Amino acid sequence: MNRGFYLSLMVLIVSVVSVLVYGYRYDSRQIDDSLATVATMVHGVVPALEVAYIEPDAMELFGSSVRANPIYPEMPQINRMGFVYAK
Amino acid sequence: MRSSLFWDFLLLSFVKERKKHIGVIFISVVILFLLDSTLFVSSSIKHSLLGALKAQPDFIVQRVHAGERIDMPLEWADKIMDIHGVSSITPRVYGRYFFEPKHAPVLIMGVDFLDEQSHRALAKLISKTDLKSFLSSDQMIVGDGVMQYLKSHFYSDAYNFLTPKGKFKKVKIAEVLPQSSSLLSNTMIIMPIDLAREVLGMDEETVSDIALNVPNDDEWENISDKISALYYDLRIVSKEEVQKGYENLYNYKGGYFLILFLITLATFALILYQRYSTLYSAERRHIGLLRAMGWKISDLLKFKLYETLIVIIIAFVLAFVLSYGFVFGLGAPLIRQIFLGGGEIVNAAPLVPVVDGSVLSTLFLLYAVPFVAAVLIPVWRISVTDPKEAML
Repeated sequence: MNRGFYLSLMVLIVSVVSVLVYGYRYDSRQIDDSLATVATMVHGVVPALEVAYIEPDAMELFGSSVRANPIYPEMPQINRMGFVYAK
Repeated sequence: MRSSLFWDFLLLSFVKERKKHIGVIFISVVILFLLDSTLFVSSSIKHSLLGALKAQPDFIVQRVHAGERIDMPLEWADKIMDIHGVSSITPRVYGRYFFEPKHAPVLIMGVDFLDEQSHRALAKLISKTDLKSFLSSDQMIVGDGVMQYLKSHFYSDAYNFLTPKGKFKKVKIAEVLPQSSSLLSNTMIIMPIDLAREVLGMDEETVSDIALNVPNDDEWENISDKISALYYDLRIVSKEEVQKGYENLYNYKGGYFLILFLITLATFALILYQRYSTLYSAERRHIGLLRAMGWKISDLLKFKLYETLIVIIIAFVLAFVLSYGFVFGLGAPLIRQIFLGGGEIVNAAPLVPVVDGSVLSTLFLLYAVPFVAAVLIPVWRISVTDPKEAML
């Protein structure tokens, strides 16, 4: 009866060990380097967090609403400079 | 009681009542999984940002009007340069550009590629591209998210920016920044500083702000005061303030979820307490029987404590492993959008596996202590009563 318990325990231990090994062996240097390079080039760290700016369509789960029109491209709309375009 | 017998009995009892324990473990795993995942995402982003902050200049000097940053004259950089102790002054030109009104904002960064530091960084990033041709014509480097957005709108080679002067400016896409830098560059467009000025509608003698370094840390406060004294409408942002800002951003988010978690945990503890305070008659009888057989109250409490600890540890470890795989293996779908956004310009920044031990241990205590209390208090209340009464 206890065999099932010990088996589950072993599975749990193995999964924890694999998580630790994965974390230990993960090489984050490439990510750190490219972040540092971008920050050096632009002389600053500005996170690309869209949530910090206007995001009316936030929380589009599973990418359900894709705004791009695959058949006809949406041209960039013209806001206050519309009159120039009209000319 | 002999130790081995105690453990045998404990395991037998645990396995026998596995249905009850599996239910509790399941609820615990769901709660802990959500919280662990959120904390993993926030600590990973925080770790990456704080690592990149090493490249942040010591001070950013901005001109402020009505509390908002406004452009400042380039000549102010010379005045700041005259202050003894200041080194490597960099005027920055940047601004937001909306691909659609109120939608899809990107950050245009103008970079002076004659600056040695920027030039070297550029060469490192785009080693395959011909730098000469890049600098000689109107070209830009775009972030991964921007490129996806432009491609989806059929601008795969170039984009026509509408400048505030009402003219279209065609800029070729020279290179896409690597996805590994997406945490910073996803919504970023890097272009030569003069081109950025043209797109953003700034004149040649104007900059967005000025970045500078002060090599001697002891001079930071002094230099900051001296710069403030130059003009009345300056705001000086130090590297430490930026760091605190980013820490607070994610602490707020982490804290927000922690509050939700505490509410959920309190509800969970109440359910458990309710469940154990009105113990099933069978369970009451079980406790009474053990007492009648000569078990001490301490033995009973020890028995229940170990039983509860097994449940807690299994649930905690299982939730940890599952959320680790969900966040760092699958890239935390759904949850990453809460932190990174991605409604319009999708951010596929990789998450570096980072586990904050202090957060995990706090979480364990927050989870384990109420759980143990919710189980042990009712068991103690029954075990101190007369076994005959308990068995009724």
